[in-house]
Amino acid sequence: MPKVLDKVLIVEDEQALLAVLAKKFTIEKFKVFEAPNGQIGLEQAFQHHPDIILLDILMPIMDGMTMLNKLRQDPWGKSVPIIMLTNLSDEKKEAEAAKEGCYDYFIKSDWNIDDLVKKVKSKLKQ
Amino acid sequence: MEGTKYSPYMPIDSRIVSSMKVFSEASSILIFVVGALVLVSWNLKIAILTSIFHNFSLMAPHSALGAMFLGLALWLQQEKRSKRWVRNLGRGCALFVFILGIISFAGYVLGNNFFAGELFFRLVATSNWVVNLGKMSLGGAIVFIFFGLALLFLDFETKRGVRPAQVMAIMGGFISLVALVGYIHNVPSFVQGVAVSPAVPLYTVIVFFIFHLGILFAHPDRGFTRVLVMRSFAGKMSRIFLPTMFIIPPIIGWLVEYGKYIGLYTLGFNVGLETILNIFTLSAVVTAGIGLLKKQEEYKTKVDVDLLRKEGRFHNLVDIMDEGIAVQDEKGIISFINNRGSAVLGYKPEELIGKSATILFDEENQKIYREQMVKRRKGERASYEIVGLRKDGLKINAIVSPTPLFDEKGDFAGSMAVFTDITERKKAEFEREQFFNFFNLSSDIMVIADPNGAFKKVNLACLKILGYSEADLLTKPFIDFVYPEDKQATLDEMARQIKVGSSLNFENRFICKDGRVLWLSWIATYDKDKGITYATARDITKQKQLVLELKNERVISDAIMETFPGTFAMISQRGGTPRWNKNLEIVTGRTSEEISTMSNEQALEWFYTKENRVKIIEAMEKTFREGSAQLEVEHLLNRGRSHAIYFFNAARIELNKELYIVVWGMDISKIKKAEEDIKKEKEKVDLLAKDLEKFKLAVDNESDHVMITDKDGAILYVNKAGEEITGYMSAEVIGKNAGDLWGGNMSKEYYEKLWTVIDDIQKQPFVGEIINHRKNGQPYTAEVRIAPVLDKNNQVQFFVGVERDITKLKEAEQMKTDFISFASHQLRTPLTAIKWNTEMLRDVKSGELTVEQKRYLNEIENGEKRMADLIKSLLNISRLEAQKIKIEPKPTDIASLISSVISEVNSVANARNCAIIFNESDQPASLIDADPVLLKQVILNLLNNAIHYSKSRKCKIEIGFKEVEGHCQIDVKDEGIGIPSKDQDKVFSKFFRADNAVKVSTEGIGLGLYIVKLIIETGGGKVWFESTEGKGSVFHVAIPTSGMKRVVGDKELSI
Repeated sequence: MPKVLDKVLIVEDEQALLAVLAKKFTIEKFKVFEAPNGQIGLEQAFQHHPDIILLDILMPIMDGMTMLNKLRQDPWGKSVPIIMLTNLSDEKKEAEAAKEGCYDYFIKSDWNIDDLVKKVKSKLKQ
Repeated sequence: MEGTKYSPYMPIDSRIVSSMKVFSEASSILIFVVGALVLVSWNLKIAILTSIFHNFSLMAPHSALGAMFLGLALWLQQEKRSKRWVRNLGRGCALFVFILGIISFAGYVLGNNFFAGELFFRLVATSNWVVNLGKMSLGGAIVFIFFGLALLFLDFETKRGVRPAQVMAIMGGFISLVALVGYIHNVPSFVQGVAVSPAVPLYTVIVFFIFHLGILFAHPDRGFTRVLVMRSFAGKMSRIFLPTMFIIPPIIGWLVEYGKYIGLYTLGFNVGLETILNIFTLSAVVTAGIGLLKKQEEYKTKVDVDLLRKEGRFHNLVDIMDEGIAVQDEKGIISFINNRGSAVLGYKPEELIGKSATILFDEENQKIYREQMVKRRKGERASYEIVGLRKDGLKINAIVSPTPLFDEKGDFAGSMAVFTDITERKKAEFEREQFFNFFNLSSDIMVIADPNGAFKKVNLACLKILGYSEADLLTKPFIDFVYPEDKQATLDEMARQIKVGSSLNFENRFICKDGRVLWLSWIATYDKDKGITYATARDITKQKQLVLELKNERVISDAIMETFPGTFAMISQRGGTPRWNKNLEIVTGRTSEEISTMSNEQALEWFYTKENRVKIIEAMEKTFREGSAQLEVEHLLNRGRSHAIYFFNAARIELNKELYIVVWGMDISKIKKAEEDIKKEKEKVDLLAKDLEKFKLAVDNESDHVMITDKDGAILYVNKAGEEITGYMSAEVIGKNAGDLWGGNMSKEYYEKLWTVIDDIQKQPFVGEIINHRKNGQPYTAEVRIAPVLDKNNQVQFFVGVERDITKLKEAEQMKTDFISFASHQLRTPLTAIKWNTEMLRDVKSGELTVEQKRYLNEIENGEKRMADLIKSLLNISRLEAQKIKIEPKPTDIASLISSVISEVNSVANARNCAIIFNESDQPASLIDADPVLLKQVILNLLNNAIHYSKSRKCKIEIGFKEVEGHCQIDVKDEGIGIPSKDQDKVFSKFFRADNAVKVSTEGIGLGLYIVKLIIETGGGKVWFESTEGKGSVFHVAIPTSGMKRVVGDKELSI
């Protein structure tokens, strides 16, 4: 029986980063969905109901915080685990995100992809 | 009573008077009837009547008429007749008769056969008896004249009491008597008078005689008939003898004539007989009269003698009498005065007799005397008082009992006065009255007591003061009213008083009726003769109270004087100190003796130095002159051995016309010193005030908003900058709460935190950023530092807040931060791409790499890491500089913190062959309030430096911490390259790397120590080092054991 893969939604406007992340998570046996901005991210989220979302903040059209907000207003979206993935080290934003109940707030440049995957997996195991 | 000429002393017998009057009336009726009968008989020629008169001639008709008229006249003028017209009618009748008599008499005188009667009757009568008309006898005519006159003037009486009517009547009676005698002795001339006159008829004679008596008796108590009616002896005599003398001789004569007629004896015999009988009768009468007179005389003599004797006795009596007796006549001339009377008046009796009584009185009393005389004339005899004038001019008071005297005629003949000199009595009375007034009007108690202790007499004051009734006081022994404690003393004093005779100022207490107790002061005299005590008492209760009060006052004033902490003296103008208090003695060191005897000069010498004496004298003079003075002067104490500055306050008083100064003195040396001190303090304060002014000015002009509130946040002061920043004028905000005005923009938690810091528990300054809003509503961001100002008891007194409007700064910062964030984000993104892609490259799944490829990949990774670190450091610094990094001290175990850092850097340290030694065992275990993250960074940086700048092979790094002077001090010692001295002051600067450090590694940015310094110093600690180039360095970080300072911030350190 083919295993149901965990779905991960990656919302990131930098194409280079998005591609890498998508490649890595696919290798790690995730079903990957991509969105270049918050708007499409929302669509994707509602459409595919990922098991976890990696969310960038600074994005055009709709930024990460707004999407987070909107997501949390959705009955499904309320409970989906979200990891903010940003280079913006802004405590304010971090606090805000935490308020909206994101699992973690990672500075990209501090993290290896590997560790990222490990984190995601450990979260999904919970 | 008409008859004042009649002596009222001779009383009349009114019965006789009335009988006589009856007789008078009867006689008038008789004569009238007779006359009427004659007329009737003439008219009627009645034989009977003629027969009665056969022997006698009939009375002429006009005589009869006259007779009738006479009868009428008398009858009408009887005394009892009151109507005037009746009497006048009577007079008219009398007048007719008189005229008739005159005419008839005139007929005889003129020799005229003048038959008046005829004339008369012719007019009225018939002719019948004209022939037989007789004429009136001469005697009759004369009688008619007399009687007519008498009856005309019947009521007339002279001043001397003579009644002409009586005289006339007697004349008429005498004529009739003569006629009667003529009839008896048959002597026609007696009867006729003249030859031509017919004989007056016998019955006429008798009737005339009776009638004359009737006229006489008309007013029997008047004139000389009075004697007949008197009760006196004379009256009796006259009543007996007068009729006898008129009746008896005629009877004797008739008897003799009858004897002769019947032939009893011869002519000579009967004459002789008559003579004898007359002699006999006369002598009998005379003898009787003499006898009676003799008796009368004897009686009178006896009376006289008696009277004389009596008078003599009376005189003696009168003279012995205590009273004066004086008799004055009606003119007021003194006719008699007894010895006593004259003596009382200071005269001899002969000096007063014959003098007018008025000399005995002064002008005022003469008036009284004259008034009294008027009363005497009226017969009043009431007693009166008068003041007489003695010979020597003295006045005497007399009571006069007067008796008016009237003579026999009833005229006022003077008066007799019995008078008593009542001067003495009056004086005595006056004195008694005075005494009595004095006794009763006196406001002092006056009593008369007997030696047995009973009041005999008490005055009104006594009753009033003690409140008892007279009955109460007189019936009980007076000792009963004495206050029990004083009873014995009173009794003793009574006894003493009796012995000695008087008692002076004896004081005792009496109980009043209402229970009050009064003090009385007695003066008493004991009268041995009378055996009574006279005493007067004065109520001295008030005085006693006053004395007591005075005593109390004295006690109080003494107490005041003695308890006064200073000196007191009373100085007499004349010299000397009559009063002073003990302190004066103590302070000056002089004895009581010395002070009492010192003169003013002596006092000056003893108490003041030469230079000050003038001042004292001036002050004293001022006091005497103006009434008061004050002075501060040096006062010699302790017999001149020491001195002190004294303040004197003096006042002038007057006692018994003497002037004194009373003066209080107080040692003010300490006060003076205090004054000096205060002056200095004041100067200091003034300086301080000036400084404060300057300070205030500075604060006012300070560009930051400075505000002071009370512990509840009400604004006490706000400076100019505050006004500008908040938009509120300071006047508007004073007293109001700052938070209400421009706060309220932050979260509730923020304010709670704020208050927690500054007040509730921590009472620490709160430093942070706050958003307030201006008056116009515009929000602004301020950097605020609010510090509590605590008092001695660690209670908040004030808050001092300093605010800096950092809105623009904030904006700039925000821009900077945003920029940095953005920049760092932008810088990081490509780095992330590099990192992850290289990571993917490394991943086997991407394909195997050659060694060379791996090498190139490493370089790329290194480059990326450096970039990343640089960006991180830049970010941290910008945050640290912006003071946005928050320091959150937490109880931190320093030891374990150090351990964890060591474990982190261990790999790096091993790579460079460095051993990190941390001696935990001999470090005190302690928890310090420190921000673990930041402190970790600090320790990390220091250790990293120590590792990096170690001298390659086998280095030792020591790390430890200890408590020093209230600080937790962490030391990191290395044996590295050290810091060249020239660079030592720069090592904490941003981006600084010493030359030797650069040689070791070009990789360092020069921010490590800068960050350490920033963190530690912001946290309230200190960082320093010792270093020797080439040898090594020791770095010290000290954090106060009270903990790192909390800093509110919104950023964390980017690790």
